[in-house]
Amino acid sequence: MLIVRSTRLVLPHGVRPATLQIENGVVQRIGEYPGEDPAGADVFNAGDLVVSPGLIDTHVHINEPGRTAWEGFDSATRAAAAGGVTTLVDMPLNSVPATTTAAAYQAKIDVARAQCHVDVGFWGGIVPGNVGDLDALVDAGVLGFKCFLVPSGVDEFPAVSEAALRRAMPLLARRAVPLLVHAEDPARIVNPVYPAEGPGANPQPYGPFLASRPVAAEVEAVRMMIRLSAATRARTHIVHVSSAEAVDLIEAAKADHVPISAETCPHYLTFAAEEIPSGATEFKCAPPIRETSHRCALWRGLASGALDLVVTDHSPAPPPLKTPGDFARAWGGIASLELSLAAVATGLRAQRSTRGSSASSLESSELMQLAQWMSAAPAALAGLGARKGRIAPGMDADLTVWDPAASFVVDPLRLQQRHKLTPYAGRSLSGTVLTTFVRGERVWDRNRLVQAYGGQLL
Amino acid sequence: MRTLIKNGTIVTAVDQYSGDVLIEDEKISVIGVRLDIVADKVIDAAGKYVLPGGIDVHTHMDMPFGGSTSADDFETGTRAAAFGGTTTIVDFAIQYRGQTLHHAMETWARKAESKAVIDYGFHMIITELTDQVEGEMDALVKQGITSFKLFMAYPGVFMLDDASIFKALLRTGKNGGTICMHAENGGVIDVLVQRALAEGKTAPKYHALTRPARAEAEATHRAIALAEIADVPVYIVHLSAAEALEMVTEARDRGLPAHAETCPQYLFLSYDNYEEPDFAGAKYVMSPPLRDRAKQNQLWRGLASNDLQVISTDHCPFCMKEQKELGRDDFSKIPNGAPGVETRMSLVYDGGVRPGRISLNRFVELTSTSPAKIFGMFPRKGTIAPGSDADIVIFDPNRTITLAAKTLHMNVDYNPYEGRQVTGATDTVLSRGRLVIENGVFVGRPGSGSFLKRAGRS
Repeated sequence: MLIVRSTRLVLPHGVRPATLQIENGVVQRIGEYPGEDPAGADVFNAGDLVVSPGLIDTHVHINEPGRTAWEGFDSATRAAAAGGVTTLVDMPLNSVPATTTAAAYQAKIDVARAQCHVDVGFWGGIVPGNVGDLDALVDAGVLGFKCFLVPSGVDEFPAVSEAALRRAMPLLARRAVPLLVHAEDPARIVNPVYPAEGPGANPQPYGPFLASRPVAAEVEAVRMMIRLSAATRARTHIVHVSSAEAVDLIEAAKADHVPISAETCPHYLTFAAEEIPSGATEFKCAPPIRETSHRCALWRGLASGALDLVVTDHSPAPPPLKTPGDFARAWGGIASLELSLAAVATGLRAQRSTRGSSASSLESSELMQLAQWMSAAPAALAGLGARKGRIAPGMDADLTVWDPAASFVVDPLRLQQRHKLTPYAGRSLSGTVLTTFVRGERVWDRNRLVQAYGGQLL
Repeated sequence: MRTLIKNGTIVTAVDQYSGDVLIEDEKISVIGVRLDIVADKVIDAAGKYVLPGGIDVHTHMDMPFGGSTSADDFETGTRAAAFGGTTTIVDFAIQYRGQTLHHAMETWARKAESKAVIDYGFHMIITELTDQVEGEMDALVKQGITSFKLFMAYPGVFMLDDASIFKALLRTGKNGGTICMHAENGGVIDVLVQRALAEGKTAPKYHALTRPARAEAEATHRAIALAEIADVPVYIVHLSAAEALEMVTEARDRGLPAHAETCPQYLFLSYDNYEEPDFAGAKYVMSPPLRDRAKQNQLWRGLASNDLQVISTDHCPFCMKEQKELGRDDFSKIPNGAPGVETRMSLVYDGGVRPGRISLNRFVELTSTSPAKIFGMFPRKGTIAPGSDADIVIFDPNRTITLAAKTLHMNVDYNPYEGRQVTGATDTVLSRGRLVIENGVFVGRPGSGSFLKRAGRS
């Protein structure tokens, strides 16, 4: 039996002093603070540290098998544990084979098993020609599907057409699994024009890349998905929303009862195009990080409920593929699994400073928002809400123990992810994860992995 | 004293799980999957919902009005509330012109103190705002009366002019109180009433026909505008008209802290009831009046979308005999009000949750959690969590009852829902750990309910 007590336990109905009693990996009791310690119990006194529900990250590219040199289950789940992430859901692409058939799914879980330090689930993929495989993928255990409307960056995971989605989505509605969509319209994407020589040739400025993937591309694609979702009633989730206009469209669709949800990512909430130096390809991702006005709109979208959740789109690649200085050729993707809680908590506090409050720790309402955006809502998206995402009796004891007021400077060499390149390097963030529990087992504690390979496949 | 509620399905605004609840004295001390704890009393809730007790923030017990007094006093009224699954009421104390708020508070405290069987708080109705009364508002907030109701209707009796309303709103910006508004344009309504009577239109239905929806919408809009200028929240009581809801929705879309409640009568009864033969329409004479059935769906949508945050009752019963009869020849002399404190939970469960208009969690939120939060009672009231008051309802979702004045417990000779069958009924009720209703039998004690000091906005 494990006892966890804190004066700031983030429960579904509020942040309160409380004591958890955990058995067999499940929260059995929630009692008043401090309460008593049953004989023989393992006791974890968190004191005034915050105990939040473990983070659920439903947007992670683990890239194994096939591109294990890019990341892999061991390193990704280690980074997750370090960042307080207790469950992640792997994307179907960048691994080879891509998770677009039941056989590919089987190949993936075969390599994943026995390598994971936190719990891991899987999305399947929709690509041209695999509608016939979707039922078997659901039967095999995928939690839902991801598709691209633009080229994904890897040849084995092509984009799908509207016609293909019209065939696939009724099936997804029938199976009650969500469709996750990378929403950019290829017809609106243009070739970036960089100066051939002279200023701007090397290193390349960020502007041309940004202009090549305009807001209009996101808007057109989101419009199409709203249409399809309304017509088919398939639960549709727009991944990595980057623009104010997309937020507005999604908000309006929700008001019309379209079954749609949406996420954004820590980098869109942290950075702004104006601040990206020339040649800094570590900031390259798609859709691109946009201007400050969009960043503000994303925060407003989270506050209003237009956006449901924050997940990382953790997408690492070996540094040579990020071709420093060269936006045209660099791999697009940012890896931030381990920094997401700190980045979002820091951003949330910065939002507040515009409202005039300056307390260094987070208020209860802000801790509740973080738990909603980063635990409860992603758990619900992945259909895991009956087991994960909240601290309540009968739920898995997935817990993140952290200090919202403790700041640190991001040192890339100390990150657990395989490749250390990160746009957060040197940045000061507030929100330090101290201990991570997965189903009642202490997995991460004070800067090190203390229990390896205990993760389950979901 | 330890009470253990076993085997139930615990439902809060954000949770639903099978589990047990341990109560020690007046508080909930532990929630858990299965509690093997010795208790003085064990309640088996198998097959039942275990809900946070209902909170009705709009009742008028023992209230003088139009030459009569509402038929329930604090004993009969709170007993009926308990039978219906409500464990807290917030009633209205009235400052009459020329009197102090303090006098009103004392008067209503005396009405309640030896009679109430459940906990109660007070809003303060202000009918005259002098400099001295403004000062008294601050004192009342400190004493736990943290909300003030103002009238935009009933000229010469209750109505305040816009300047006084605005001053009161400004005052709450400083003292942390909340203004509740009866939003109907009283001046316009009085003209319409006089004109109707002059034309010989005296039947009950003219009560509704002289109080148009637009008069409510106009006042609602004005109340919100004044609150916006004063930069404070406002709470619209008993919103009945879809046109008024549009005003609230528009304001909330702009991010304003405009709150509103509606009542079961506006969801389940309609203008058609005024057309009942003889004098039966008088049963439904209340302000605002019942509205078009066709527009009720908009109220349901507002409840689902959180444009309406609370369902209260505006319980204000008058008997047909000797009370409603006062207006047999003149609808304007019919005492305004109807009974409802006992029937709220069953009606909303049966008509809201069962047909899928609102979720079970939303039902709890609308009838308990949200009023607790808006009116400074959360987390002491409004949820099931360690440390919260043990105000708990064991609710049978499958038991069908027939609503009838004879079998209900309100002290009034008719029921507006006479003969209506509803599924979902209260079995057992605890108020701060004490049994008040046990399997449908009253086991409480007058005077055991306490005055509830509520918190202001911080």
